[in-house]
Amino acid sequence: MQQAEALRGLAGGAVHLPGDPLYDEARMPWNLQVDEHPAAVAYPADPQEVARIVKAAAAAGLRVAPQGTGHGAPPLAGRLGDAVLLRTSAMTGLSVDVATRTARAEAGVLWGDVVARAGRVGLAGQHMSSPGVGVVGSSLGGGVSWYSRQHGLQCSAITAVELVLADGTFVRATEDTDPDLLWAARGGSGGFGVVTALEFDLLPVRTAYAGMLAWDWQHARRVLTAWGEWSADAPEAVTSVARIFQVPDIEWLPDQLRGRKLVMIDAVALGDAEAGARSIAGLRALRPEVDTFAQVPAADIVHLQLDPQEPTAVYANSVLVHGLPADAVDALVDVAGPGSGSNLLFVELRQLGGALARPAPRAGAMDHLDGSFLVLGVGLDVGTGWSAVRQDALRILDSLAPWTSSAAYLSMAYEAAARRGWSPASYDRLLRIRRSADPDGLFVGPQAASND
Amino acid sequence: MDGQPELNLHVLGELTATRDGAVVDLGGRRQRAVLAALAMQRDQVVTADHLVDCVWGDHPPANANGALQAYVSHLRRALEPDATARHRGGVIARAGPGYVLRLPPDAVDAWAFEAAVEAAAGQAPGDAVCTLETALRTWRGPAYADYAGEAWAEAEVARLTELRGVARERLLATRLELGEAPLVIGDLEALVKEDPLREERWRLLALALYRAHRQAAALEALRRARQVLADELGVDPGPALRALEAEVLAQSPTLDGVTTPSASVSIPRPRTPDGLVDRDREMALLRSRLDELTDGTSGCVLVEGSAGIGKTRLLDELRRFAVAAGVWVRSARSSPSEHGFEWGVVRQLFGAGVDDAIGRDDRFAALRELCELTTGLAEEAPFVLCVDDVQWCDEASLQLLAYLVRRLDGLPVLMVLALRTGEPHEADELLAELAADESVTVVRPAPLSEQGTAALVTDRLGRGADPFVAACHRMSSGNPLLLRQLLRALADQGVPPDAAHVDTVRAVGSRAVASLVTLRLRRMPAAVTTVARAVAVLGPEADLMAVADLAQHPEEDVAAALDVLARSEILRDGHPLDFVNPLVRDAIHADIPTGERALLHERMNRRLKSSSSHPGDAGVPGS
Repeated sequence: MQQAEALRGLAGGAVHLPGDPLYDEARMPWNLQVDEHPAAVAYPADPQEVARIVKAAAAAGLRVAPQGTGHGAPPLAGRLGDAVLLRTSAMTGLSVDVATRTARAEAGVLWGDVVARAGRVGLAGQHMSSPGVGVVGSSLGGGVSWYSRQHGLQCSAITAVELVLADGTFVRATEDTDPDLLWAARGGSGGFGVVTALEFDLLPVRTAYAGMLAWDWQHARRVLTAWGEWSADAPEAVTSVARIFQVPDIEWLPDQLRGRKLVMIDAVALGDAEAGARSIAGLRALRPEVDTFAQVPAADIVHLQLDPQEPTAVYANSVLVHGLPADAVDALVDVAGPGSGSNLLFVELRQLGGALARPAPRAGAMDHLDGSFLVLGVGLDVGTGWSAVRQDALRILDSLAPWTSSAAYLSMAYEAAARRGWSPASYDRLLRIRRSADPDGLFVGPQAASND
Repeated sequence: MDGQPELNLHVLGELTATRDGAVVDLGGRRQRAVLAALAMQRDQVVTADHLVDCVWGDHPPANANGALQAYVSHLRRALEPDATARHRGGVIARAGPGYVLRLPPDAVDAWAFEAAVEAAAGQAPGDAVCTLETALRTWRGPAYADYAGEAWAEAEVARLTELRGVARERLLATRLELGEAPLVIGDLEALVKEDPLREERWRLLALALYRAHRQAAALEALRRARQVLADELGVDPGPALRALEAEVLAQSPTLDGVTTPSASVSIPRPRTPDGLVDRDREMALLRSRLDELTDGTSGCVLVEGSAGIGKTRLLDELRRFAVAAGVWVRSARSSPSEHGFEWGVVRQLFGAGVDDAIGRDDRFAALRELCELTTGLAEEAPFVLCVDDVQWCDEASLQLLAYLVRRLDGLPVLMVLALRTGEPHEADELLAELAADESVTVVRPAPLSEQGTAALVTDRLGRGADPFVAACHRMSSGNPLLLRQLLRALADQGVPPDAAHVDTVRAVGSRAVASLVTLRLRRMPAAVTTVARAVAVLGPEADLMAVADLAQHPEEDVAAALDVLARSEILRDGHPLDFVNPLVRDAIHADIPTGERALLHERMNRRLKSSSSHPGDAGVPGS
């Protein structure tokens, strides 16, 4: 790995090679399940420094793998040995323009930052379920948010992308200047450059009716069946997520949840409390044990799902399904509910549809999701080893095979073939754009080629 | 939201409207004037006649009312495109002899601004600061900028401008109340400059200077106020300013203000650079030496440690104590560029009074005479002799220091020297001799502990999550300079100290201190960068006028930039102008682009030539 020596001193000294004191902590992504040893880890602070790293890596015969927080690190596993891991955490610039209702976030900005800043001026961003997730990585990968059923994917909100290409040139792509790269940034999941900043629309949402309902998991079948029926007619202003959750006994979780096995429904309803309460009345009628719904500031919604902020080793996999009839609930609860022997942390069913089902007016590599639910299995290693966790998850996802879509949401389906992430035409166009921006394959692609 | 499109009107700047965030085409200047005139009257009916006056002034068209109706109708279509023509008129409603604007109170930025300023008056200081800052940010230019100078707009523009001025005063007054005196001085200077006849601004400025321990500057500000008021209005300062002047002269304790902000302050705010942590032992030693000095006992302390460990800070604290105890302090700071400048440090310490002594050819005679001079001074009153960065001290001065150490006994002089270790220097022997002298106490400040680091994180960013603090500690190795620069860089970008931002700490904190500083400087306004570079080029010669001359900016702007640099912990807060650490100066100097550096040096040389007849300027080093 001596060729990486050529990078030393770049990025103001923030380059760590194997054997350096900070190498080991710098190479670890948020998802600690990925334990890679890249040729170097670099933390450039602006596009000029990114360009220097990219050029030096190319000259040294190394590849470049951009990474933000590393929440989506699993697809990089086994592919970083000859690569410089280019971490974007030093690029922390963030501005919110109240007049145009837009934000400009550099590649190290997290959703929690955007939500806090925008919230101060009565705006909201289409954030992911955890405040610690990076804006750029999640936006490039599509971005399903609590506002998606009304407003579509976060990637459709992108109005400009700034990036450094494989030859070190800096490009600002907008609808007018470089529509191809902008199109690719909207859900193309990367592989065409190092994105250094995104500009995107914010929503004029000050508050929303949001909260969580919970029951003992003995009620999983009854609750999920009713929720499946309810969701078919739910207004687009409401986005909900149901989970079978085997809550660990961790101190930072609320007492009423710690160590419990639950079926939970989180939901966000845009609008006032009265309309919100009306829209979830059908779920309340199922007599939950816990009910935290209230009209809350939009900035609080990012904390609704209680995701861990500290790096954690997790296995995750998902399928898109069409509909959730009673048969499907039965199949799912059989393998994930009481008596199933499942050790998964949770199985989550995220309600899609609404604007997510329609092609976004602005177009983009990913402009809709082909499925009415995203079913996500997430597991921790509880001492049984990762392959047992994976088997658990696959068994649960396979139970829904009759309803499963041929499409996949790759940001949460790391093992799916890359072409399932896009329509055939979009996938072809995406590959063409990647080839033209990076003819020699300098960048480690977001999905392994062997998955294709 | 709520199903209804959200309509917003912006008048604090050029007149624009947005509908669910999308910009609405409001048409030409005259058509927009209708909307402007309606917004000014808020929920009052504006007569058609008045609107015609606003739009056309003295030259209305033949069918003015018809033309006005057309404008109204176009505006309604733009503002409510979804409504059918019959149902439009919700926003611009027909009312009696004219029209009225029907929008919720927060839909027009000027209305929301006014409400926020009123709300802030009843809030706890921490909340009020947030309210006022947010409200002031909604201004994108002068109010109703498109209609500046129009007679019909004059009163409302003046009213809003006045309201903004009051809001800015209140914001700074509230921050002053929260203990941020050193941070608001630059902004107050700017306010005073904008309108020197507003006494409240002078009062706040003087008060801030006083609380930032700059009494002389506070009195000077009050003097300037008196002058301006006399020159411009021929009046004396009002009772508030006169009372303040008397209180400053009397050092009245009432001026110190409330120091405990109310417990409801939830948003952590960056505070003045005051946190000194993990230095209790060192401070206790220096204090006791100072107490002994006032009892007539001599002493010599050598503060030794690596770059950035906090030696200068200890010297600063000692000076503060000494001044508070009424003890004289003589200070000098050596720099590598002055190393070859014979007697440079002695000159800094004693001024022109030593010219005769150091003019002697015989070094020993000079030393003896300087020693006598020191004795004479000490007999008048005890004093502290501080020399920072003594590793760069010129040899002649260092000889004097070593000579004095052996002859201090019985003299009320406390000598405190700071020595950077790990730096090759020529005077090793003399310094080793000094350090070995049994009358010298050596103090070695230790790296900061994790608890000390946590305290500084809380000070700068708010209470830090454990992994965040641990990362800060690891990245800085407990070096206070590194830690402060790291925390400033994070604070500049609003990074919250939570577990999710540990990698941000790693990313920023694993840069070398030089690149950390230059990165921060690159993110500041261009004028601030230029001023910092000018200070770096000037070195010890830097003063306000010289910097203004080199940077080619007006002195007021330079003063504001210097304040920004001081509160960003790039420059030291106080005089003379100097960087927080020579490493910082070197980093900034090395980062100046070649062309700009040549230009700055050229200007400096010209400056030196034009004042070369001045003996004090001899021997200024180039760099």
